[in-house]
Amino acid sequence: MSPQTHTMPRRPVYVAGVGMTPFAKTHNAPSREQAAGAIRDALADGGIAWPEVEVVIAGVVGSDMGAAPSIVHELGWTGVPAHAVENASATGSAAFNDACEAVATGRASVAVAVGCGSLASALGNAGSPQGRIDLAAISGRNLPPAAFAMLKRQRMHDYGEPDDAALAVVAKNLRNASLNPLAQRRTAVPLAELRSSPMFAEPLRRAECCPIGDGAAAVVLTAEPPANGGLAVRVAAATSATDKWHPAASCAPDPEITRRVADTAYRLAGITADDLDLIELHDAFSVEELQYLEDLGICPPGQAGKQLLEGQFDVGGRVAVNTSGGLIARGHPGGATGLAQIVELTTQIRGATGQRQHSGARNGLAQMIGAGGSCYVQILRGEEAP
Amino acid sequence: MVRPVNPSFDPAILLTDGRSATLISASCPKCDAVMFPPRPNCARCGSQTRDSQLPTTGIVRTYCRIAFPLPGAEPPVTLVRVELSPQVIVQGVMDGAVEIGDRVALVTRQIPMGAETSTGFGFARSAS
Repeated sequence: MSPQTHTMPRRPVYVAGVGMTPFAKTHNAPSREQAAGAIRDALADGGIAWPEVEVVIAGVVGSDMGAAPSIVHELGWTGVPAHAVENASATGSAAFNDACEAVATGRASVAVAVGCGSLASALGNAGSPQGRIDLAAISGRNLPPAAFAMLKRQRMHDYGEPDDAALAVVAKNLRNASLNPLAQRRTAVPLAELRSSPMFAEPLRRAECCPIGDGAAAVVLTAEPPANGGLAVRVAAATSATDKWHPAASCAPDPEITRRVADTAYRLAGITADDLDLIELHDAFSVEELQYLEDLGICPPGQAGKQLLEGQFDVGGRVAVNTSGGLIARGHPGGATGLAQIVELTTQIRGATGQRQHSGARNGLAQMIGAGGSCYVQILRGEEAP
Repeated sequence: MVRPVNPSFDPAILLTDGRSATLISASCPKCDAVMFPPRPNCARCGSQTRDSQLPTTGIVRTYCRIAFPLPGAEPPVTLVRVELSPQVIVQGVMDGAVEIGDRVALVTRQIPMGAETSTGFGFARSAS
C-alpha cells in the first residue's frame, strides 16, 4: 500500500461556504480575530449558523499554544471540538484536507477549515541560533529563493526557456490580482517593466518572489449539497504526500512529488488534467508555476513557458491559472494560503468573480507545497444541485 | 612554523586536514543506495548503513548568484549544485565563474564560528 495519504470521500463533501479577509502586509487585528471574521463570512455565505458546526480545524502558523479554541471563543462558546494543524506553507491545505476527512467519514456533517497567522512571525522564530554553522547554513540550502533561482537556470539551460517566461507568470498573476479586491498586490505591471526588477538570486528577480503577508480564510464543508440555487461545489479529491528520497535531497525539494500527488487526485476524482478549467498553484517563486503546470500534466516538460506566453493560462485561455493572483500577487500569509485557493476556485465555479471570471469554469485544482517537504492537491467540481 | 588546522564544521559530514576535503556519505548494503548527508538507516529501505566517501569532483547541474551573504562568503555569492555521483547532488559555494556542465572539485573554505574559525567545504574549477 502506498504511504501516500489521501481522502477518499466515503460520502460526498461539499464546499458550502467560503470567506476570507483581504491579504495585506500586516493586519492590526490579531490572528484569532481575523480567523473568526473569515469563519463568519463563510458561514453567512453558506447560510449556516455557528452552532451547527461540529468540528473546527485551524491551520495556524506562528501562533501561541491553544490557537484553535481561541478562534472558537471569538465566535461563541459552543463547545465544538477544535484543534490546530501546521504544515509550513501548506498549513491551510492541511486544515482543509482534515476537515474534509471529518465530513467524508461521518465524524461531522458540518466542518470548518480556517487558516490564519503569518509566515513572517514563523520565519522570525526559525532562525538558526547565532554562531551555529551547519550544512544548511554553509551550503545555502536554507535560502528558498536560491533553490528556485537554480530551477529557473536549469530550465533556461535544458529547454532554452526565455527569461520572459517566468516574468510572464508574474505579469499574468499581477494582472489577475488587479481584479481581485482581496489581493495583496493589486497593481498590474507589464512584462517589459518587470525586466528591470533587481536581481535577488540571479536569474530570479525580486519581483518574481511572493510577498509574505497576513490574513485569514475559511471554508465550511458539509455532507449535504448547499441550497444556494447555483452549482454545488463538490470536493472530488483531497490528497497529500511527503517527499521521497532523491539524489538532491540534501539541498532541494522532491522534484516528483507534485506529479505523484496529482496522479492520485486525478484518479480519485475520475478526471484527467485535460478536464481542468482552473488551477490555483504554489507560485511562491515565478518559475514554480511553469514547473508545476508540467508536473500537473497540463503540458509536456519544457512547454509551460511557451504556452504561458501564448496566453493559454490566462483568464479565458485553455485553463486559467492563478486567477486570484496566486501567491505572487494575491499573497501568501501561510496559514490562510491553501484555503484562499479553495475560496477562489469555489467562487469561480459559482461564476461570481466578476471581471476575472473564467467563463464556464466547472473543474478546479488547487496545489500547495510545504517546506520540509510536502504537497497537497485538491480537485473541486461544480455539479448541478441534486 | 606549523599552522593550526581548523576543525571540520561537522566531522560526521566533512573529513579535512585543513587543505583537502572529502564528504562522507552513507551506503546501504541491502539496496545500494548512497545518501548525503550520512544517516544511520537507509532513506529508501530502512536498513542499517555504513559510512562511505563521495568522489571529490563532479559536474555542475545548475547554479545561481545570490545577493545576500552566507557564513564566510560576502555577496554576490555563487551557489552550485554538483553531481558528485549518480545518486548524490550536493550544493555549496563556488569560487569563481561557472557554467552548467563544468567539472568542479571539492575545496575547503574557512567559516567563522564566533571567535573561532572552522573548515567547511565549497567548490572550485577542477584542474582535471
